[in-house]
Amino acid sequence: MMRFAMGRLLIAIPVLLGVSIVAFLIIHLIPGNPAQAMLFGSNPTPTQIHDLEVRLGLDQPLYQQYGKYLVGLVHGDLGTSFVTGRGVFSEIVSRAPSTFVLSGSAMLIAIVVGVPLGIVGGVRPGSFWDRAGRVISVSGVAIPYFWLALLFVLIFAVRLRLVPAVGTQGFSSLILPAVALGWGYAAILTRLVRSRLIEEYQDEYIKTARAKGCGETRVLLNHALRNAVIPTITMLGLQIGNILTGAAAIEVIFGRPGLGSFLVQSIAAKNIPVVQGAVLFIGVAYVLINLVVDMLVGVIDPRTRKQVTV
Amino acid sequence: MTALSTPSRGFRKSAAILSARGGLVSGVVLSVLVLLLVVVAVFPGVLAPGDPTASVGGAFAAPDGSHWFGTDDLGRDVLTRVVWGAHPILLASVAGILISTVIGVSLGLLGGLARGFVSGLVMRALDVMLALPALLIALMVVAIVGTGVTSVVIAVGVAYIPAFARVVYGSVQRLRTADFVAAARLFGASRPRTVLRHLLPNLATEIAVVASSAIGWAVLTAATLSFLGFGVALPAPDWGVDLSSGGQYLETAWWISTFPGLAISATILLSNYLGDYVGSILDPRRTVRVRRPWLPS
Amino acid sequence: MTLLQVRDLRTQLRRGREVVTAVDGISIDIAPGETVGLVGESGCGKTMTGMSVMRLLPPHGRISSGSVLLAGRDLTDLPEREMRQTRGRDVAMVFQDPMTSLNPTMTIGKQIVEAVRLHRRASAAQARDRAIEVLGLVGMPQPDQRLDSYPHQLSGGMRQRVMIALALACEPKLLIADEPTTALDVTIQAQILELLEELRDRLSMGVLLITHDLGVIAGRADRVLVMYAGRIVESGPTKELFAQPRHPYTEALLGAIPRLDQDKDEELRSIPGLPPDLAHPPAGCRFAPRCAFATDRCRTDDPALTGGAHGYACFHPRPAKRAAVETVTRSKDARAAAEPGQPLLELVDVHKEYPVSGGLLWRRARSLKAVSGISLSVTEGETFALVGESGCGKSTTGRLIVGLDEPTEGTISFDGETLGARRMRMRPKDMQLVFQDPSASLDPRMKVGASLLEPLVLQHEGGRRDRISRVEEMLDQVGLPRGALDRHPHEFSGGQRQRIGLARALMLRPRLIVADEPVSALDVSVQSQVLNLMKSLQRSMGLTYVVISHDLSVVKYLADRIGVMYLGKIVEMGPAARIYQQPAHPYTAGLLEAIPEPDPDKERAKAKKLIGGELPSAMDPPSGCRFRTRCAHAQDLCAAEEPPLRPIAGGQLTACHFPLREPYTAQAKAVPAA
Repeated sequence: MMRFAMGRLLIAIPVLLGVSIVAFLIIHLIPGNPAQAMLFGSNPTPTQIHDLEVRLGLDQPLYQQYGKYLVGLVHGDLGTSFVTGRGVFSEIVSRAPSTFVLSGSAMLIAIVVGVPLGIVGGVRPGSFWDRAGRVISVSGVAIPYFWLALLFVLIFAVRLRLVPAVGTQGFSSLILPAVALGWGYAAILTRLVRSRLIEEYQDEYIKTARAKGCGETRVLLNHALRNAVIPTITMLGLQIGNILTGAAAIEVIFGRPGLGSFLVQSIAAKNIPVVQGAVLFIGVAYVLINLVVDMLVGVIDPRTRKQVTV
Repeated sequence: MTALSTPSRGFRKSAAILSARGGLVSGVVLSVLVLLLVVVAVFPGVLAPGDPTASVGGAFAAPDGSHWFGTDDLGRDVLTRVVWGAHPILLASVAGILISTVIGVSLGLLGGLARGFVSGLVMRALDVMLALPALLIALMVVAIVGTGVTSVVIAVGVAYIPAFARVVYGSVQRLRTADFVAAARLFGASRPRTVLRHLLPNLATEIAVVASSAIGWAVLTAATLSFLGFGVALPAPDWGVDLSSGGQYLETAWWISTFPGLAISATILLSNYLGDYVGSILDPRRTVRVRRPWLPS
Repeated sequence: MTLLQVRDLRTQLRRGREVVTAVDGISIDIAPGETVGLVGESGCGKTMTGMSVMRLLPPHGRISSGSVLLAGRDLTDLPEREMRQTRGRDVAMVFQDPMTSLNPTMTIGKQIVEAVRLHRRASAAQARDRAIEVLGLVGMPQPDQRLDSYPHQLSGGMRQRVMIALALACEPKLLIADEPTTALDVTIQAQILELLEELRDRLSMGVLLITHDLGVIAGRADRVLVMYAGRIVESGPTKELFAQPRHPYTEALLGAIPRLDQDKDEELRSIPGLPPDLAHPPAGCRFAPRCAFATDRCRTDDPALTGGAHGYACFHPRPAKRAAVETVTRSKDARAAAEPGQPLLELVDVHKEYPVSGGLLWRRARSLKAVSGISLSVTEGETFALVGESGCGKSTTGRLIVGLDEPTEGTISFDGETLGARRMRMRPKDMQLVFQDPSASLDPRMKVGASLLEPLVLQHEGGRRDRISRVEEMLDQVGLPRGALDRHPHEFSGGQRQRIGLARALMLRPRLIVADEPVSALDVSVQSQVLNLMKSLQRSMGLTYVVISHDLSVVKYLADRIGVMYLGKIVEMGPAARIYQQPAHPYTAGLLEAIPEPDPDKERAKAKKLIGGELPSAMDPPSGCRFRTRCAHAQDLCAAEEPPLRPIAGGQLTACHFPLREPYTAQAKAVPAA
């Protein structure tokens, strides 16, 4: 097991480096002179442009810049925000928890709604509940989550006055955004759990379990689900990235000051260091979360443990 | 061997195949809807003559006989705006997916077919690409390139490269060692020929299915981008932008944002069904369940 | 007291809008301590019968009529809750493929404990003890340590033992074994069958042995039921049924199996046509459309199973006592005697190793030694067979010969010319390969016609019209209709796909064909068709065959010379006749012994000197002689020094320090049942 964990960790490192390279390159991919592009609105003089270049270190060779960037990363220095002049790292870190809470809640809702519906659909395909589940999953996939969010605000906050429309006070203001964000992923989970379960039920070991005398509940819980859950967990890990980023639009709608809305604002303001920092942050978080998911899968599925392919 | 087929015979044969595999009715319905969408995107004037940016009367008029979808906060006809608003979103998604397909498939082929160092490099690059969610990539591109329709096209195009690359990479790995490829080599086929004649046709189904569904994801991404203000700028019509601007009037004039929202949903749904249908008609075995990759957003 | 009494069982399956009666009026009697064999080809309904007794039918199936009395209780009447208690406790089932039949994410200990606790009040510790006990019962070494293993960590034979342990955990009175050994190597098969018999005696169980393998039935069943198209067509005591089959189907089935003592020039009996569609069974006798002796009455009236100990369902049963069965003898091969001189194919000290990523970057890379020093030569016109069990390296050797892989060491020459490197190895016009699985070796997207044309196109042979006519000719030669050209591979049956594979390999008129397991995936009656075809093609086209197979009876029918492989090495080689009559290597002798033959007397006369143990790892083969870990005659020398392949007599070579001297006893002509 330890060897497996080490192996996975080892594979993650070049990926993390790759993410940092991508984030680093953002500023260099801007067409034309990046410094000029960033100062565009204020009609800069050549000297001002040059000063900015030096300040940003853009006159040095690329690999040197990357080196400095990497060193900065290790020390927690992600540059300074153009807008506020404060450190990007602290700006991000102060906002990240809100986004994580929102994403986590959305994921939770996705699991709590999606998995049971998927189980019902998988155990009794074609039944009423299966069809209900499929309606939900279709709606979840098709309806854009930001529109859903707006509708939720209209129905629950404005018309019914059940929950506040904007703000971050406590639990009640978390529900709508979390559900809006999580609905689409509940739909995906329903479909996945359902189809995996149907497939598992066709496997031979289910026959063996029944031949032993297992009742259907036991077959479902101890056998079919146990195996069906593995790709589900993997999928969940993969979707976390989409949830984290999707939080952006939700935060904008609900006025929540999180990492997502911060990213959006920074893009509009051409606050490149923040954009770099946010991309790096989300990318790294995603890789690490998937690392944990991989470990989890390794615990549950002993077959993956023996492959430590590099 | 095969007798010469007359045109009508070929037609009947195709109809037979279609009805056996995917359902003739579904095929016709889907084609009609797709055609409608194409017309709307390319020739919006046909369905909605009139200037979507011009005011046609009172603001906030509820949907009625003269304005089926009502009017918005500046008195513009919402129906006209929805019809004309299809263009930027559909352009972004279709053109974007086209870009993703070409680049993603090439990368996947390269990674799957090359040996040693090159393959390892592509695999690592793929891992990194997959470490960034599609929407994040799209936002990144917008940050770099700026806003506007072209930017959204590029953003969508780049964002879905990893999805295609991954699917193709996996399939190529699998197909590369298949016996029928080995058999072709044994008969003297060169590597390029086995790729062209055997690998690609077997890949084509999967690529087509992914591409058809991917248009749906791309629509969502493009709409999200324009919702956030990174696409077309007002007063030009666009589903995402209209959804966003109509959002503040939800309580009083729900129709301003609802119809664009419905349009987006309908398009995504259509794309999903198209993906399923394309998958079933292209597969001669008719039993293959093509695994739909997971990436929406 | 009869343990199991099945009367007139009928099971139906809904297939779309049609109803298929998969089991149509079956009656079975099993007494404690008795093994009843249910034999038939695929699709005959034997598996459904077993599942019906357990009431484990799929959702679209149901028992429509009949009774299943287990120790007096009718299982068909039981409410599901009680049936659940019966399963595992009173009647248990063992399935075919142990890899997929065990839950991959649960330890075997947990799976056995579950079986115990379902039916007995036992604490976790007691259940665990019982699990260890029952694992020991099935011959698992170190059971207490194995409890925490996962299925994928065990070999096939071990997994099947676990399956048996699962079934016997609560000591059921009846055991249903559905193809329990089909997925296993021959030597392991023998071990498992022996184990089943032992356990049956120890626990006084009744066993329903369901299989398609007549050899297994001959050796292990006390009584036999032959099933065809959902019905029992013949039943009786094993010896009698095999000695005097009354139903034409039984007779034809026995005639279609290549036997170890079969004359090579005899054509195998084949049964034309296919079994009927059970959604629309024919009026009259179901076997009539394929029966050589059918009359008008057979097509209108349905014969019932006659009574008595040896019953049959036929209006025109084969005579009770008769002269030797007539067989068609082919004209003796007009092939020239093998000329000494240049062999067509020669392998000299060929090695093939595959690197295995066994750990992280800095660890020493381990390698899989698939082939470790093979030398052989094949003369033009002969058939050389490479036999061995799974993992011996025979398939790898096949691929090396045709050039799909390159040897790590050693040379391969064709017609005197050494095969070069990489792409230069392949000789498309001289050597071709018939793949093991025709579903995988035919491009599923290409029509059959296109697949057959491809070799000609690639080698730029002939013009368009010429190619088409050659393809059509080839279809005729392999016995496929012209309409096949426009179809896709998945529209054909297994046997037909194998013919297509054969046809394609022959398109370029190669001189040498490597056939990798040409018939293993096929039913017995179809096997014989393909084998007959291969023989006649060899004569008409002057082919040289290298046949790769694990089935020694198939090989004996085809081969002039044989090479026996074990763990990457050839342990014995020589003329087929000699090797079968006088195997000098203990492994060969063990293999021959382990093959179940459809002759009850021979089977029971076997001395049961089974090869024990399991196949060692190919990454870490034993020192010295690789077979020594399983050899009854192994001595110190065998561990110290590897025996070279040495000639003994009559062109036979053996790699053993202490080769056997006596002829293979079971091969001596058995005394015919009087």
